[in-house]
Amino acid sequence: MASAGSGDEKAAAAAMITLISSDNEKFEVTEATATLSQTIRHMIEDGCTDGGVPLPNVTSKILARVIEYCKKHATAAAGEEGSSSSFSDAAFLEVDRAFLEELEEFDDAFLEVDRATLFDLILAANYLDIKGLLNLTCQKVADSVKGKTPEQIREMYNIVNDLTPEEEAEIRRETQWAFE
Amino acid sequence: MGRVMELLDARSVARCTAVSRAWRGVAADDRLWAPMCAELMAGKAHIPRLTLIRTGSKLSTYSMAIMDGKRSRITKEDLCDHAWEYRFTIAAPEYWRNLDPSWKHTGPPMRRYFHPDGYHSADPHDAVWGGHECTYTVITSFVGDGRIREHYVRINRWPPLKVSRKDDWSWELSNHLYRYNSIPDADKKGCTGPLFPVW
Repeated sequence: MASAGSGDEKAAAAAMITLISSDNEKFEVTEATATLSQTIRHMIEDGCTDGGVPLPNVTSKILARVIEYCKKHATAAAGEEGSSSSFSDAAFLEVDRAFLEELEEFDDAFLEVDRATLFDLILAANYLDIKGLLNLTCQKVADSVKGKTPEQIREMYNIVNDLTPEEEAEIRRETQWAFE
Repeated sequence: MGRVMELLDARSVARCTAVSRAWRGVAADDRLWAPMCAELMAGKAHIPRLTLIRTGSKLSTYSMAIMDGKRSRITKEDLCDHAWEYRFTIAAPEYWRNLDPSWKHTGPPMRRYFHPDGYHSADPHDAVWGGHECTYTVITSFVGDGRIREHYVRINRWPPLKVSRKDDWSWELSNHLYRYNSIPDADKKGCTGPLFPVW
């Protein structure tokens, strides 16, 4: 998070893209950052990003987090490309490993959000088609659900059980093996 | 949410179906369960006939297969649908063991067959088979509350055969003298075993 700005400085000359959240807040990002989103990449390719990219499905709060993620990962991607030519293989591997570790730490910290934000991030990652972010957030939810009972899942995510007692009994009868 | 489900094991996904209506919609999806069914059946010795029932969803097919795979109560269908390998145990008299090609390494194990009319038979030229009349019975005795007290297969008046099940869903019938193993037949058309749940 501390180095979130470094990608911008390096690519200051690069084309900037303006993203507009559902609540009309504008975010200026580099093309390298924005194109982590396949959706935006396609818009750029189609040349329809002049005057900003409206993202009516994403709030400013979530968009800020998504951009934070994209900046970090765009920097990491650029760093990997840049270092491969100037380092020997061993040194490159060392730098590569450090990069990956740092990135992993960043991802872990990035996921320290409340459940509602996590779900919003999944929806945004899905809409913007950011594969890395989608995998990261989905894995986090999957880990939280794994091995839990329906009661625990409902409690965790504040889900109201709208199944009738008969339906639930029938479902549990069918999937009896999963509760043994 | 479909993507989340893809990252989970079958047991966790099955539990998700009981969370709420919306979760059920995602977690009970056929597209999710079809590959899990394929994975479950892969490498199994027998494929339960129950899985052919068309009315069910892929989730119910999976559930049926799991429950049937756990079943240790053998039915006449299970006995008759499979061919069985027959071997003597170390405890059997030497005279018998000498007639058993799997002991002598002189050929494939002997085979035994169960027939729907209650008869039991062997291949022609079977060295152990005496040409005698041979019948089998599946015996299940219950205690008062419906629990099974004893369950075994008996051939003629010979010692009862204890029934057990292996991880690959194959069956074993055994007593101290000999043992029957169901021969894998997962490719058998129409599958094998009972058509109705018997657990």
